[in-house]
Amino acid sequence: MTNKLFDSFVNEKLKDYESPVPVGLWEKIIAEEEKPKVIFWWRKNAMLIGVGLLLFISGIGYYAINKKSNVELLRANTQSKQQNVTNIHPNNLINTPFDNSHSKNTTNSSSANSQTKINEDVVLNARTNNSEKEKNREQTKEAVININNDALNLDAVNEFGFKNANIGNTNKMFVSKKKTSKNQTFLAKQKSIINKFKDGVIYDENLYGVDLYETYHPRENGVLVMQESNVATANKLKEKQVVALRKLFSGSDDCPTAKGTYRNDTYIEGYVSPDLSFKNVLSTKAGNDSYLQKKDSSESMSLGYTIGVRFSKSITNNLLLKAGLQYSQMSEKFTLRTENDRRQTIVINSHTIVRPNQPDTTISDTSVFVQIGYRVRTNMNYYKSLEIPVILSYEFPQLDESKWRMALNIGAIVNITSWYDGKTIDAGYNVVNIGSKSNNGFYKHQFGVSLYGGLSVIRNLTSDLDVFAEPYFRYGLYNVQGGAGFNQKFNLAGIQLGARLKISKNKHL
Amino acid sequence: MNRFLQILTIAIIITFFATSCTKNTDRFTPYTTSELNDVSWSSNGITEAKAKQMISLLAKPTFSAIFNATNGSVVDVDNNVQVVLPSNSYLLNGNNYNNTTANFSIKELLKKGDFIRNLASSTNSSSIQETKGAFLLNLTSDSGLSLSLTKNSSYYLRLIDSALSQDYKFFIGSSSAINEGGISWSLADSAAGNYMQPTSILVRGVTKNAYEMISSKLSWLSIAKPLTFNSYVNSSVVLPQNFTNKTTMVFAAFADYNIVLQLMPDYTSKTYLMKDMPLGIGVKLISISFIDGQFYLGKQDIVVSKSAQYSIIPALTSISVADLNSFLDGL
Repeated sequence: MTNKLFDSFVNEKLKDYESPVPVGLWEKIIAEEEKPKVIFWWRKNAMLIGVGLLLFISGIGYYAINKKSNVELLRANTQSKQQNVTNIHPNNLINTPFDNSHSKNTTNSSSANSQTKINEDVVLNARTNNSEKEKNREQTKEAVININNDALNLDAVNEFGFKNANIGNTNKMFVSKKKTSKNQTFLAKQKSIINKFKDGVIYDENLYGVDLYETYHPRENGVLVMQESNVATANKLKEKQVVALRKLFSGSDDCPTAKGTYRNDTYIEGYVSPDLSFKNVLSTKAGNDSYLQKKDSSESMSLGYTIGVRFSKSITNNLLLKAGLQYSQMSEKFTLRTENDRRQTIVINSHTIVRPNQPDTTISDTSVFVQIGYRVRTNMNYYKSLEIPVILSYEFPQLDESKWRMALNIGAIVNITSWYDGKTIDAGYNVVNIGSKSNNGFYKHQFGVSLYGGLSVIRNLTSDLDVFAEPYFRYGLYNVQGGAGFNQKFNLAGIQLGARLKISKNKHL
Repeated sequence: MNRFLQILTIAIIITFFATSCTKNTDRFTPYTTSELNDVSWSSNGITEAKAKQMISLLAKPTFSAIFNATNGSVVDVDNNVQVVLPSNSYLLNGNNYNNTTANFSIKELLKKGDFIRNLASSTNSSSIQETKGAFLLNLTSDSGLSLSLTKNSSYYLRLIDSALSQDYKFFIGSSSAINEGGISWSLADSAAGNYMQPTSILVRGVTKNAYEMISSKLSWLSIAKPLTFNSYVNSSVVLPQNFTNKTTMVFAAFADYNIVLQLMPDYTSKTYLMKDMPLGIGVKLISISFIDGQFYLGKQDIVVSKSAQYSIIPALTSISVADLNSFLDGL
């Protein structure tokens, strides 16, 4: 109640009060309104720029952090390398050491980068056994595969690249490796089996780089032990930090490291393509419709070809940039039937004249014999070009156990130079040469670009060699100017047949 | 080798073969129906139909008029020719033609070109004569049917000439096969009512000297002077294979005389014979061909010698009727 009275009093006293405006306030407001809009623009876009910078810096930071993590991982692995034996020991499966001495030297590892997820059929146990030779930088490594009785049968063993395997009467398995070179890349089939361990990758430096197993010692209880002794491999162990089981068996460089690898393939590709050309003739001069109709009826495109070589460089795992040099030859059949054509032949005629009461007289004369008829001229016209293809190719991921890949290609074909051979008809229906290497022929040479699109089917033959077939279509963006009031444009469809050779391989990050 | 490499290699080889096995060709096929390509000769020579077609294309317009058949008429054809048509002297299909009017036309061959235009000779080859001109009257009824003269009726044809000569004779020509000269000339037989006499006539008010031919036959009439030469030779004219007796006629136009002689084609030797040609005279050999509806002209100036042959090489391009007529007018 008391408060209400006070409020009423204040309201009554101040209801008509106006606070004086400070000196210069209006000038400030006006100045604020008159600020150029660019400031507003800047404010508005500054936010976008700021967000962009933030994202960029974040990206850099993320990259740097990852880089740092790798370094830390490197260090951690280097430290763990001091362990003589690393034994990946799943809790739910039996780990059987090779022998007692090994067992003594074996310690269970639960390091963070040993992310082990064990296949139910196979228990993988790996360990490294350092002996006295370690002082001489020689290491002996063992990979132990515990075969759950028949779960991993002989076929499975064979798929690991073993030439043969048999289980003796003591339940020992004797295997020998296929005759492969040290750096052989296993076949896709083998890789696919290896991929069964994809989720059971052991990131252990002690096993990394082991790419040659010369002996494999079976275990009496069904555990397969693989040993390797290799000085060079021991040296590698100091340099490599991350181990993958696939690497262990494949000996390939294709497996990702802890960070993974990036594709650094460079190919050289050679190809030949039968081409079918399509020609569009556009009139640029009024009144020459009948001429163009005659010209069109006398010309038909036929099979041409393209031959070229190009380099292909991976940008990402699936994207490749291709560029090279190719020679393209479009063929055109020129057939012209001309009526009332004349052919002249020089002939010698003899005439024997018989007159009464006079000896026969034989005379001869040389004359020109003329025949009138129709003439059919068939001529192959060739439109030849030297071109630079620039193509971006997306290769679809390769399916497991498949040697086939597909790729989508788009790009441009840049015409460097062209020259033409053949015949056509001019506006007077006379047969004329379509051109020469110079630019003063019936057709004018022009620099131009064509759009390119194709779909490749790639078949892997070896680790370095592929063959491919690539149906494609080229859409010409430029005209070839004719000498009688018309332009003509060419489009092509064909199928490139070729092979590509890998000249560089993946690299680790 | 890998199977795929084999397939690739084969595909590439096929590609090269498919794109390289091409050949440029240039094929000429003669028309089978073209007269130009027909090099064969006919024993019958040029056909009458083709000859008439040529004549009709080359002929100049003839003089024609309607006259009073009952009363007769004197027709001034031009400044040099006058025709006197008798009265009541006409038959139509053997019956008297009683209509008042009839049609009259006359064909005049005065120059060498006129004879060639009509594919006719102005002379016989056996007896060379130089002509003053040849004329052919044609009378038709008012309905266009041919009329003939009644027996013992005659018409007069007067050719004006300032210098009349007794050397000129009256010849009557009978139409022969076109390959036999077209007109065969013979001296007019006075006993048959055909004779010529010098006269003076009044033409458009002017008195002029003229040869007056009186004839009862509506046939070719000519006034010509027989010529004799010291010696005569035989020779032949050859043409390229394209020009055969089925399409081509050859004439000898005497350079210094108003004489045109059609050379007879010889089917056996495939030549045109110059028989009993005066030795040493200048002659222009002229070939006129009508092939596939187009005229071709050949010409060759010679002096008749003892040479066995002469050649005419017609132009390979056709000549227009106007140009051909112009050439013939200049002979």
